[in-house]
Amino acid sequence: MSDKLLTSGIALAVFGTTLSLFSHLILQIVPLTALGIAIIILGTTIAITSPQPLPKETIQLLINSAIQNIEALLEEFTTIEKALYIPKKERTYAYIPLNPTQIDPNQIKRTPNRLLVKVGEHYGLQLIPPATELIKALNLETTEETNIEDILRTLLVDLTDLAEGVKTISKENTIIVEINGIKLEIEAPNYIETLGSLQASITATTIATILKKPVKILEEKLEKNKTTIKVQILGE
Amino acid sequence: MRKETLFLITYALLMMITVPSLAALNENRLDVYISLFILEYFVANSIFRPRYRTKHDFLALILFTIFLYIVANRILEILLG
Repeated sequence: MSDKLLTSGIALAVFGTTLSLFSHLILQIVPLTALGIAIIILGTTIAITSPQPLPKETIQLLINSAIQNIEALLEEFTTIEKALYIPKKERTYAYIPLNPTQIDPNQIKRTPNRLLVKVGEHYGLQLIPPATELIKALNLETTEETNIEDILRTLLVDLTDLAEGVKTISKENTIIVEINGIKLEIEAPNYIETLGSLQASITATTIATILKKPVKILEEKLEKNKTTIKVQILGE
Repeated sequence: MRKETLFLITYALLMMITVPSLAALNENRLDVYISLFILEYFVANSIFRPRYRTKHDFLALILFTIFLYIVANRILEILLG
């Protein structure tokens, strides 16, 4: 797909160059020369525009299988607390406390990257939420784009096709995210209970990665084809 | 539909409307056509904000330089009579 786009873009640009040179030098017709130039610009634009590397359905299936793995793991533990999304140097992790306790998120940041970690006197599960690598692939640190809504739209609508639209509202230490037209609902009750729905966990992971601050899903309201997520930003 | 696809379709449509429209108006200045193509590029780009293979949109830089050259040329023409 990507090579096809690149090839057709280059082919268009070459055709445009030939047309504009021929019309300018031999025919001397300005509109035709302009048409040639338009084709050169369009060809170059097609060639440099980012392609869809994988079909959206494939991405959805890969994400779903990652979730089923986490679901199988969560079935083995008695998880009672909601997950905390902790951004670390390499990637963002989801920390699920195994005991009901208040933990300083900065303490979790310092823990080794293992599945089962001990924070103070308490144990917790440290998982890699789905789509973490997809967020990493967007190179958020190098892009100038830091608008959470735009990045969420790119992830949930353009790249994965998990929803039709995203809206965000920031309020002090919370971000309210409204996701419309949900296209994939997962069957993983333990996952939803601790990490939130698929869209919610991707949202929380993205916010934690962008802001480089731990976050927690405070509330998630699932309605028909729509979900409203309240994400709390932890730490200063 | 992906925003990149929408951007390409919109931009192609805008350019394909510009050429016959200006030709119908008997416009024979090539820089007018090019300036409009460049303006359309920036308008479509700011609406759809497509993602590029490269880190920066180098085409925008090239087009903007051309646009500046055309504008400077026109100003000089007016100033020098």
